[in-house]
Amino acid sequence: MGVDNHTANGRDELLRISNLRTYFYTSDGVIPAVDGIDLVIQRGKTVGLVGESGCGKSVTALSIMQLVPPPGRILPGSRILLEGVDLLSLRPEQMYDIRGARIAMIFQEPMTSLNPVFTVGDQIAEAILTHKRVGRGQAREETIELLRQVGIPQPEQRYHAYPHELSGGMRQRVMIAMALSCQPELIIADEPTTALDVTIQAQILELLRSLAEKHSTALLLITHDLGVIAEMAQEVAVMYAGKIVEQADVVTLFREPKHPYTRGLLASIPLLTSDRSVPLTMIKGTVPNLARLPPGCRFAPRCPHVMPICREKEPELATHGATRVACWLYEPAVVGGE
Amino acid sequence: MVAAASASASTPAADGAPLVSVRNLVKHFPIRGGLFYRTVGEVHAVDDVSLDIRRGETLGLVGESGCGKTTTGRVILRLIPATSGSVSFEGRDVFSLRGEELKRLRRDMQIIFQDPYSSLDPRMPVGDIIAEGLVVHRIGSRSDREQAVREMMARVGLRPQYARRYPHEFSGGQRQRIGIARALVLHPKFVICDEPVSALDVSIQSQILNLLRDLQQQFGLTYLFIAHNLAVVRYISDRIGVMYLGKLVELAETDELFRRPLHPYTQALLSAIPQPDPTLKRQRIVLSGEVPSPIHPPPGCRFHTRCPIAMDICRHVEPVYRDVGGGHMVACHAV
Repeated sequence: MGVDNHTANGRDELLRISNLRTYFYTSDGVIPAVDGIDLVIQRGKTVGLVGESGCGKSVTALSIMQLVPPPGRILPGSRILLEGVDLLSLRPEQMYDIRGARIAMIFQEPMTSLNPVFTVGDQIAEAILTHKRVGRGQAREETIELLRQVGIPQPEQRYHAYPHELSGGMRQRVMIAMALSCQPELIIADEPTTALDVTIQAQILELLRSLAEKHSTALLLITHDLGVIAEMAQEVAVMYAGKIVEQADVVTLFREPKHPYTRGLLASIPLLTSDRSVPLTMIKGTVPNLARLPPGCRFAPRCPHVMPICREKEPELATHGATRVACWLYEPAVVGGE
Repeated sequence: MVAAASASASTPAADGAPLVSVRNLVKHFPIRGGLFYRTVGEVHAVDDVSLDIRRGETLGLVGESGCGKTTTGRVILRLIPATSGSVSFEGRDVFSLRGEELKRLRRDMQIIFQDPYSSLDPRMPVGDIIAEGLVVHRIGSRSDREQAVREMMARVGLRPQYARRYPHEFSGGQRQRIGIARALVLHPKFVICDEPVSALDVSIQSQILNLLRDLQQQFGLTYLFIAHNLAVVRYISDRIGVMYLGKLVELAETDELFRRPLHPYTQALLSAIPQPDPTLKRQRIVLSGEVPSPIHPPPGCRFHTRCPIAMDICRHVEPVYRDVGGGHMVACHAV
């Protein structure tokens, strides 16, 4: 089964996802939100997972944390290996020791993930007390130090602030402090700056980057914003309708996008430098209903290069140069016949 | 130098009188509280904004949350009353119109909202939503209206046979098309687009932006395009105004603004946009701190608390919003 060959040396490999399938069993039918994805995250590296609403990127994150809400289920045969240990085989209390301590998560809207009735300081201290053998005083000191590290002014006073007393940017800094509290090896950040203004987004991205570097924490950055990916990630995976359709290092992906979806996505972003007189490139149509997926390639109904085979058989991810892409255009046997 | 708050924004319109003229517009929202629900403070949402919108152009208005861009739009449309200042539309004073004249004006000025879901009545078929303006203004017979709705749906890229369906049956991009059809069915002259694409995915965003541009040409529309994404605004606008904490700090032709941003806030805003190019090495200006509260805006220049080049004068004296050549307006002591 295709997993990155060139990165498969075990020593630097922190997390390996293979054939992850997370389906939702709804009254409208079975929704394959994540449908067989493979992804490797190296120690200390930032991997960007990009795609549009409903492509399965957030469900991938929740699957790693095993926080998939019902009626969602991770299917048998899926594997999520953290340093070789399959998280899916752990008992709930074992997973409890990993969540927050070895893998932490930052959500898009910090207001909904912070408890409104506790001070932000107490919430961070609680995370420390849960996972570390320290006393209350020590946890409090560590919390204040963390608040200082994430750039919150007057951390001693802010320790006693409630979430609603802080701005969106400050709340996101609190979330980052909480994520860092137990020195995790991996932080999953799901749209961490989407709810923030650009000047605040710039601050938070800068902070995430410098902290991840300083603690050599790996980062799985989930976003719809290709600009954020270009700035932060070393490796990028593009998701469409539950599948990874293209994967490459960041420079290759942006310089030579291969999949028609990636190319369309990149071309449809208005740039600060693009010619304004030319209409924007569009991807026609909309994302397919996951409960009623077309046969063959999921992008076929919107693809400008669609061929007969695309509507019959689903392409697999295959290596082409520095890229892994799932598209029939790059299968010589198919294209050669044209 | 004393802040000449009433500095006129008259950028000489090459093509005759402006369609919309905003002068010294102020909107303060009272904050009520305490035992007797008295006014205990004011939010300075829009403070002395003057601008002209030329016939047939798109004026972009950018700024971060709370800068007053949306409030400016709503006050221009008279959806909320202004505290002071004036708006004229084709020479008529918008705030003094009454009765039939006001109704006529409302036909000419329409708005497209950000969230196409919360701005559409979930219990109305989309055909009725689009036709509502026609009904209110008693235009045409029932069958004329049905015809107009079908034509407008086709124009914005919706299948006319979906007129009996309800908003929840449509995707986000399609709902925004419904919102556009609703706004345009009365053939307005002026449309405010308030963050029309910020809730949409990139691949859908470009569809809607292209549609808005096509419709502008077809119907000869004038747009006020409000958004926080400068790259989006750049694509669609002829001129762009930048707002910060209730004030217009800079306004220029689009290419001029991007080539020669003068206000330090505009410069920071431009440098903060993540660009989809990993090889791009940019000198990013990361602003320290956050936007101050509009309840107690800082004295002097409102940007001085975050400005990387703030001088002493900036803390005390409000800079004059003035033309520095060719209609490039800016309010900064350092320029």
